[in-house]
Amino acid sequence: MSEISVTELSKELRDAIAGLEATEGLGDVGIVIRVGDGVAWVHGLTNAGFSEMLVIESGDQKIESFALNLMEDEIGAVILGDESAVSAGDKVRLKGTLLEVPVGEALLGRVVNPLGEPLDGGPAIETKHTGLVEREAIGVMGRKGVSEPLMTGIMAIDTMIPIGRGQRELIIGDRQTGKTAIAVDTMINQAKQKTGVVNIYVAIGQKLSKVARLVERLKDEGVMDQTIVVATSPADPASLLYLAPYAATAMGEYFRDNGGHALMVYDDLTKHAVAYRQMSLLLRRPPGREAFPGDVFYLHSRLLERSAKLSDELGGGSLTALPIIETQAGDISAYVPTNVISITDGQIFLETDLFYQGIRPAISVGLSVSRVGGSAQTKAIKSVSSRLRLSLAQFRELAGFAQFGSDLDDDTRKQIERGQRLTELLKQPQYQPLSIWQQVVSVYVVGNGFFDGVKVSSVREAQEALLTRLETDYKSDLDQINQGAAPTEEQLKKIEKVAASVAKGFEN
Amino acid sequence: MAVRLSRRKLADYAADAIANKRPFINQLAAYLVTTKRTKEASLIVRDIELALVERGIVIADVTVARELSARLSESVNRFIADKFPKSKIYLRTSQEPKLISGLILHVNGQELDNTVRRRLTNLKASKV
Repeated sequence: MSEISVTELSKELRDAIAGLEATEGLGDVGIVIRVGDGVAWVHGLTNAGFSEMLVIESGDQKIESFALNLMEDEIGAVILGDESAVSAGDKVRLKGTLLEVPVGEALLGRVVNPLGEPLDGGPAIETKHTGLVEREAIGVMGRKGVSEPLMTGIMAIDTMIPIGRGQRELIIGDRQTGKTAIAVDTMINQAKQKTGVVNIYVAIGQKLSKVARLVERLKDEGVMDQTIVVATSPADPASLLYLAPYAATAMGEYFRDNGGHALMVYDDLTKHAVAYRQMSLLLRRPPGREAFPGDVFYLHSRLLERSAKLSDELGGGSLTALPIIETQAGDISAYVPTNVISITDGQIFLETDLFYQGIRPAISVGLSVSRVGGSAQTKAIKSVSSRLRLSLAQFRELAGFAQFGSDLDDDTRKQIERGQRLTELLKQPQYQPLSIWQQVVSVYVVGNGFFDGVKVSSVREAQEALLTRLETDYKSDLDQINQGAAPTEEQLKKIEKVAASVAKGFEN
Repeated sequence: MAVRLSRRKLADYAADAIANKRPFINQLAAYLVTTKRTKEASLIVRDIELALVERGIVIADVTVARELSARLSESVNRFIADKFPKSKIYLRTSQEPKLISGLILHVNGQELDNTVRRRLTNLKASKV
């Protein structure tokens, strides 16, 4: 090694830098052989890897794309920029990276596209952190069982189909049955209850007017500060729709990996599967059932597997997923719905009939289930909800029989009447999530018959009166219940006393 | 129906023929005409060149702004010989005044672009 002159160190370093810049090495290069429908077919680049970024040099422009089809003779690359600028003969180089998006706190309160570029007219996202769009899900040893609740503020869900942090709970139903409303209420509840959970809403091919309305509502409710909206519209290329949930998950993983908690809302994965089908057909992949490609299951399983509750060693953060699936005429046995049902840890099934009967949220108690959320339920909720599902099921059965005959014994009549009041109680207006104590008190009072004398149509009014009275008179007790502790005998007595007095004012 | 041969397989066949000094051009042309793949001829040529590298024959394209000097030609030959030792090297030169200065070397699906035009494009792209 030649000796370095200490006195000329600065010059030596400058020369070395200049030398390195001048000796640019050989780099892999391919050429575009044809282009169309958002896909560029590239000859060469035999070293390209799956999902690797490619740069297409078209005149002075550089257009990014990513390699999705690695075939014997050519590469199918999905173009991320302006397709019309790419033409046959353009040179294509490897960028040397996988697709990454900006992540971090800087994204909170922003509306961005799947590449992390702002759509809200605000300044560019300034963050030092980036996350891989395609990333392997965390392994078995890095995980922990779901143990903390993720309160939605919706009584029917928190009591009967509880969701835990790190769980994947599918929201499924026909169009216009209130799927997004459940997800939005859950997001609002995180802000209202100050849970510290960051919301990430992914609009996949949603009308931009709908997204704008949602953002306005989130701002009005004071939720936007802890929310990231990743939006794609039906006018965007299929490649962006395909990337949207993965990019948003990368943003959520940042919070999870730093010991925080994030909630992902994928609205909706049916449109995502359709966008992927479009891309796959254009990439000439063989179509399978309903023309979807063979790996449509893997498309969603690898996405949802990234939602997890991390072990304490990894910081104990969590990423909860609420994927949404739209069914056609209530058919949950279609290809994509069955796939996602089998991937997730339960589903909330919404029915059109219930919706038009005025039962909103229109949750079908029979078909909805939460496979792991029970272990995350707070003691307070568990203490009152254990018999709720059974009572409602019995009520439905009896109500069905009661349609055929008018003579009913006293016990049956009472059970039906209580069922009617429980059903009325579980109706909940949109944007009004309830706290833990409000849910506990409401279910306890109605479930134990304290409102049996209240007119069915007045149940909600009586509930409001009860909650207001309790909040004024017993705030410290309610705070304890709100922390998740099961109500004590003494606290229950206080609730019963107020309930009895309130019920008198609403009797038949 | 006959199985569609990939370009890579055709290229391997042709490269073997070239390395072993067997005739193949007429046979390949007939195949492309019969299978209506004549449009792929230029891509197959590129693939053959790539396949030949594995057989010790390197064909390099050098594009320069002005005529390639003997000194530069020698240094390019040396550069390629370093990268592909024990290979027979063939240089194919062409002129492109738009490059302003410098050269583009294309070999084995890789490219070395040391032209002033590329530097200007990079500067423009980085908005310096």
